[in-house]
Amino acid sequence: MKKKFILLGLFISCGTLLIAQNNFMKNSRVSGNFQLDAQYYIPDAAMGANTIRDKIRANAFANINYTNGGFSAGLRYEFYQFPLIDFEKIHYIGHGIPHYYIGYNHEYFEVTVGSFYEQFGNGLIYRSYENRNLGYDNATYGIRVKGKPYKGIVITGIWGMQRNLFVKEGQIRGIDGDISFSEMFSKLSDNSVTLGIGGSFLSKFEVDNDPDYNLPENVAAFATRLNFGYKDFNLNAEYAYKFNDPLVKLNDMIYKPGEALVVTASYAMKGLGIYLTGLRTDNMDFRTVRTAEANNNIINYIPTLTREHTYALPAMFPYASQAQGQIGFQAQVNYQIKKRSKIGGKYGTDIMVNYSQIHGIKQNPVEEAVNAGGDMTGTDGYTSPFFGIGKLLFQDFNIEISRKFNSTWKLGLGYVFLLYNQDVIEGHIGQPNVLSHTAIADLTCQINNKHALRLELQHLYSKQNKGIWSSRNWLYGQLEYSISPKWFISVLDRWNYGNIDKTKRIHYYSVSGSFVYGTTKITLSFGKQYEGILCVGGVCRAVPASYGAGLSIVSSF
Amino acid sequence: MKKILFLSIVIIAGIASCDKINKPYQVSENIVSCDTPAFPALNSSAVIQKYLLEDYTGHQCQNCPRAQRIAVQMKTQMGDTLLLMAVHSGTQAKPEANNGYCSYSNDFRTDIGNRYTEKFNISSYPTGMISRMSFNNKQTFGDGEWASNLNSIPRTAPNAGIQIISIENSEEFCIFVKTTLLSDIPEQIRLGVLLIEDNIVSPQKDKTVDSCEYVHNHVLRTSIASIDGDNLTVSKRDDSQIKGYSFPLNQAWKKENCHIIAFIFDSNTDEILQVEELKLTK
Repeated sequence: MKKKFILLGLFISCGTLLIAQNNFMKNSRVSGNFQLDAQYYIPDAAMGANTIRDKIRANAFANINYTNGGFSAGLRYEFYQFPLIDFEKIHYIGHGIPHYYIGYNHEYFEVTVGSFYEQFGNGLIYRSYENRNLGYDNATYGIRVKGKPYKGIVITGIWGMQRNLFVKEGQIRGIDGDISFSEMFSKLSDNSVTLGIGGSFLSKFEVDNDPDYNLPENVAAFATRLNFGYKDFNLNAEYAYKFNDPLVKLNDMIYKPGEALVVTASYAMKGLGIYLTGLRTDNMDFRTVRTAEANNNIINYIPTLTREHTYALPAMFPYASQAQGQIGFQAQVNYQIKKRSKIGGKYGTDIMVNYSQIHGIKQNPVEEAVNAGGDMTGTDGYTSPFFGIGKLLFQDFNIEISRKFNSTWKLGLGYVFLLYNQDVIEGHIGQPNVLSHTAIADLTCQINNKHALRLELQHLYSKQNKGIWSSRNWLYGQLEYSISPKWFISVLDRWNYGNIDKTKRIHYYSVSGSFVYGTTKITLSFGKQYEGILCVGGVCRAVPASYGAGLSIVSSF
Repeated sequence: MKKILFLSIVIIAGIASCDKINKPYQVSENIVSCDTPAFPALNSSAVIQKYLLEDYTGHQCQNCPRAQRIAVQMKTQMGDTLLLMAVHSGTQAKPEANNGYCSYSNDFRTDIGNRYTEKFNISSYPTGMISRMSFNNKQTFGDGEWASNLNSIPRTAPNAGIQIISIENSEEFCIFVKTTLLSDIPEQIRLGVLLIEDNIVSPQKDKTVDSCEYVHNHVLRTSIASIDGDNLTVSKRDDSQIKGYSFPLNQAWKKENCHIIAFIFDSNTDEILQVEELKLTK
């Protein structure tokens, strides 16, 4: 009898477990994505494309994420053991599972352990993020706790190490608080007012092994921010301060504190949008390791003020945000001439005018540095008046007009003037600023619902060289044919016809075709890649010249 | 809610730590209590290239006496060309009062020894380095490779000469080290100055028979220069630079058994370019 009871108990227990398991599986969701970028390299000495002995290189990664209610977990396997030469150049070499996490999200709190990406405010003192194209990933490894104790209040705490290529380095810990008064008090939102404040602290730790200098082992930074909006107007401001933080390769080992201020204002109404932003940074390079350089070990993010050009020729001159010292502004106006008006035409005409100008900051070396013949090492470095302006680094005036004439034809016209201080931005020491004028025409013919043809023409005029591979005038043409939603074919040529060295008047041509099947896109390409610089959000990396065939597969599930 | 509050407090406590460094930012130079003496002229043709064998050891390391015997044998063969130094570090160098037959209560570990152990990633004992040079891409290696690695170094003319003067000044000693370059050295170089002691009778484990009255020689006692060496500004042939130090001798150390080891090294690779030794007292 007793045995029967035990068996019955076991049966009920198993049944309950099965039902629970069944419910559990029902709520489960697995998602992910996969990407492969492979390239077959052909040497071409004329354009500076070196011989790659193993000929084929590839970058590949796959993300797998699992969620079940509030629970989530995931990992990413990266195979960059034999990477594309762009990534080899920045030493992004290795393979493994550098990204993995487990998290739980509740109404009042959220916990993540493992690797995570996070940002405090605008990122002036802390931002961990990834950008696969840049080969940039400074994920934090450790623990993140978010508390939402009351409507409109979010507190975030992080503690951990930082990803640098395929290793974990440094120690960072920080806290951020965000209060949204318009969420707290409905009267504000009822009156179209948004108001919020926030503050954050972050501290890094690094042992002082320097035999010559007394270095701070714990370096802290803080930031405060304000967000205010009324109807169509919005204002966002953030100020950050970093305590003494001598860096071996980035600030000449000076003990001067750093600071940054970013202010953005925007106004938007039907047919009109105005956007203004100003930025000043002074000694705000913040790294977990004092000897870091390039894009390694960056803790914070200094946004760029300039427009990221999508057209190829002006995009050859991107601005790299100078955390060590810059002051500037950007203004943009978007206006739509009314539909069905005499000037605007049937579909209206869009006009965009954008201007940005950035200078270095004025630096007055401290007395010790003057006495040492200008060597700031181991001193307070310099003083800098807040509005003191240094040499011009970047200037961009651009205008775009686009108009749809009928259901078939659409035309975009553009002009871009750029002043580019290649000495500071790209390290071409002693080279003069590049001044360039680019004219752009972008014509689309929507043949029918599925078929479209697009022609893009650009011409860049300049009297200067940039580095050794770009000189004076360029011409660019691209023809695209798309059969929605599956096929896409493109032919382009970028020709440095004005190069003063006739042997470098190279046609950087490329032919590519893509096929989309469900959530998978396969792209094949063949052509030449110009040696240049790639920037996303002001963070840049050098792109080496290459020639050959490429295969790209992007898939998600 | 309480948990969040607790975690927030922990995080705030963590980030609250911020070190504000006040002037002077540079590590202060050692103030020397004696006047700089006149060094005799260096006879460059008489300068020989010397090497330093660093033996990482511990009194509870059973295989370490074997390595010390090998080191002594090498010294016998090489004479003045080879200098020895025993660095006691790691778990096998920990003092332990009652461990078997002897009492290993002495502690020969030092800050400088620990720094080297960490810096050169010493994890097994006995391990050694010869002038911190790389052999087959290895800077540290077992005692079985010491002699062959030393013999594999191509004999070249020395690129620097080091002279040491030791002055006993009441309760303390003044040490002056003069470095003279015999050829250009473009690399940034630093000067290390260490104190070692011979004839320390103290227990030592041995694979054959533990000895409670083992004679420890060349035992690293302290660093007289900065822990990572002091920067030198010489770079051209015939450049010379004198660095001076003064320090009180620990009462437990016998001055007649102490020696000064001074060496210059490449600050990037740590390779020792020249090394010299002098008895602390005449």
